[in-house]
Amino acid sequence: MKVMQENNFENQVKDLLYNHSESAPNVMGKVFEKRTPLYIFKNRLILHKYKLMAAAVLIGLLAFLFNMKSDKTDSVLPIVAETETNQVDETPNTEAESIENQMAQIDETIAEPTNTTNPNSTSGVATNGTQQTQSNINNSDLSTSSPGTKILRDRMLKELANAKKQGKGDDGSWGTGTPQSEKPIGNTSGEFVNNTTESNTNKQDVPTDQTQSEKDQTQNTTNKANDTKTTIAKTEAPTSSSEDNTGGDEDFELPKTKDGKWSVSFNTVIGSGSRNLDAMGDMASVVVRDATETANLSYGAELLLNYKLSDNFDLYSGFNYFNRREKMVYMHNTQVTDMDITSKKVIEHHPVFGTREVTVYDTSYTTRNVQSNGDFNNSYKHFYIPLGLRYTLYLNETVGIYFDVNGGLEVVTKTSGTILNDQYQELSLDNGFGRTSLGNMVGVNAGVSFLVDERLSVLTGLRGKMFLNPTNNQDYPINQYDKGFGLMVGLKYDL
Amino acid sequence: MNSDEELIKGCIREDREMQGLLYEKYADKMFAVCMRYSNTREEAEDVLQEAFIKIFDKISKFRQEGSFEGWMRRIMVNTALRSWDKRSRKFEPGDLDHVEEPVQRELVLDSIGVKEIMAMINKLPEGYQMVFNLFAVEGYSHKEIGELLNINESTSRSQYARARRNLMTMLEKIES
Repeated sequence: MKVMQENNFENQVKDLLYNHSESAPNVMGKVFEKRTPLYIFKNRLILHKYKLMAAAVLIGLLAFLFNMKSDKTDSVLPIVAETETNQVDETPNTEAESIENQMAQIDETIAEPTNTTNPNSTSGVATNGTQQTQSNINNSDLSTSSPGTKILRDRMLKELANAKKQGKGDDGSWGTGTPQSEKPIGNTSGEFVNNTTESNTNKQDVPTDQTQSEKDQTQNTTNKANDTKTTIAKTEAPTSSSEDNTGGDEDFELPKTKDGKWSVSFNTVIGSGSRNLDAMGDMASVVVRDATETANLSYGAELLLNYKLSDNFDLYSGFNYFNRREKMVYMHNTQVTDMDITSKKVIEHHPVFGTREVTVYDTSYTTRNVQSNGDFNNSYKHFYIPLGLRYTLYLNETVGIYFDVNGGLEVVTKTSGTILNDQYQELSLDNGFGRTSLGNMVGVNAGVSFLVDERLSVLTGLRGKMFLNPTNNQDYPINQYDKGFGLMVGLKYDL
Repeated sequence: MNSDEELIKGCIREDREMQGLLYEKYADKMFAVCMRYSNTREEAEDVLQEAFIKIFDKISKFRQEGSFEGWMRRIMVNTALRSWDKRSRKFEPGDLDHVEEPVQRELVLDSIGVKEIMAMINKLPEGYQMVFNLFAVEGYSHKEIGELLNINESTSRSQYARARRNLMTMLEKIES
């Protein structure tokens, strides 16, 4: 009987417990793994995952509420909304300078964006009172760099070229009696619209008193000064008092871009994958695997929620699936030696032992080749949650180039297939792979985004990713790190 | 079998084989230490892993004056305490003056094994467990315990006294 006195209680307990051993699990693999900063980071993520998730939800909620409450001031793309031109009059054998004058007038207006656009002043471009074309330019936000202005100038130049080709003679005059009807050239998106073209050809055709005719033309010039309008789209808020002078300009319904902060995107990737094998400890197996495994077409998909941090930066997260596929083909010859033993009884005459029957064994060896082969499709499916930052450099209103970097928390890895060991024995990927612990990954993407309409964008580009934690588990001794790259095509929809 | 000195030198060179041997040699004993300061086996495994990382990181700083096992044990204990600190640090309020002196009597422990005594210790409130393990098993003084746990020395004493009394009560029940 063991008696424990009060005064030696501690000693007794110490004797019992101090040198006590418990069968410890083998965590050495983890110890080595954990020595890396990434592993420590991963462990912190795991330890605080609920806090992080709660914080992410809270931040998302707050951002959403803030976004809902904030004023959604829709931005308006500067475009040429509508153009109205009115061919007022046209007289044969008259210098057709109107379009050149229009051009000059537009250039002047561009050069002096604060000019008021008094129709009377612009009407002065008509020469000899024979052809008057009023260009009433609402240039409140007009600048030389405006896309609308460029489009307008291009259109005007094209128009001029066409006009010269079709109707203008060598002497610089229009063809006799040929009415110059302007073609309607577009509507929105920086094109002209000929809504109120009026060709007073009747006046030309009917001979009248010359003085009266000139008077009429002068009157027409005055009255119809406002009829011909070449309006370049204005941006959302008029900044010039000249708008008042445009008298009769309509409010154009301009397409507006959505100014929401949130968007969702769905991307698909096709490409190729590969892996790095840590040769520590089993170089022979690595050699065999490198010789037998080749990359196959890999693919993936992701669903992302994007948050616009600024005009150029987006933060995103979501769920990503990537299936790295590979082919494992091998053909291996093994030399097998068969040993054949035969025995027979022989009569032996021995000088000492005399005649006796003994058993004699004959051994023969036969070497043969045994060929083994296999053809397997291996699959490593990675499921991870990316968190990334995307920078988009907009080339114009519709096209942008984006770059992004992302890191991710890999939640599950599933594998299927077969690999070989150094003895060319088949090992099922189910055993030794399919890590279920959390892992890390990093990725980079670059490509082009196209704005299809107000909300929808198409993204395409190249992407690469690497998984920083081994795909294998502790049962397989060679650490394997998967990576992949490919072509991405996706859609982004602004909420 | 490699000596501690060889293992230490190997670990300083970051020789993985030596690290593995060191782990094999001490893991069981250290795991028992971790188990005493942890609620679950999983938590003990995590502490063991964390502590071995520290050991491999800091092994070059070990001055071969004292016991290497003692040094490792201290790292285990410190790591376990940090883990407990993060998890749920909780001390029962109390003062030494209010603690009754344990009854001076003999206790029969012939049927009490390690598992039973550990089970009894695990039934104690966590604060009691920590102080009891540190004082009775690891041999820390109350002053050291106070510094380790960032509590007053008197608090350590009272916690220990309460733990001891509770254990005695449990032992009495087993005896009866």
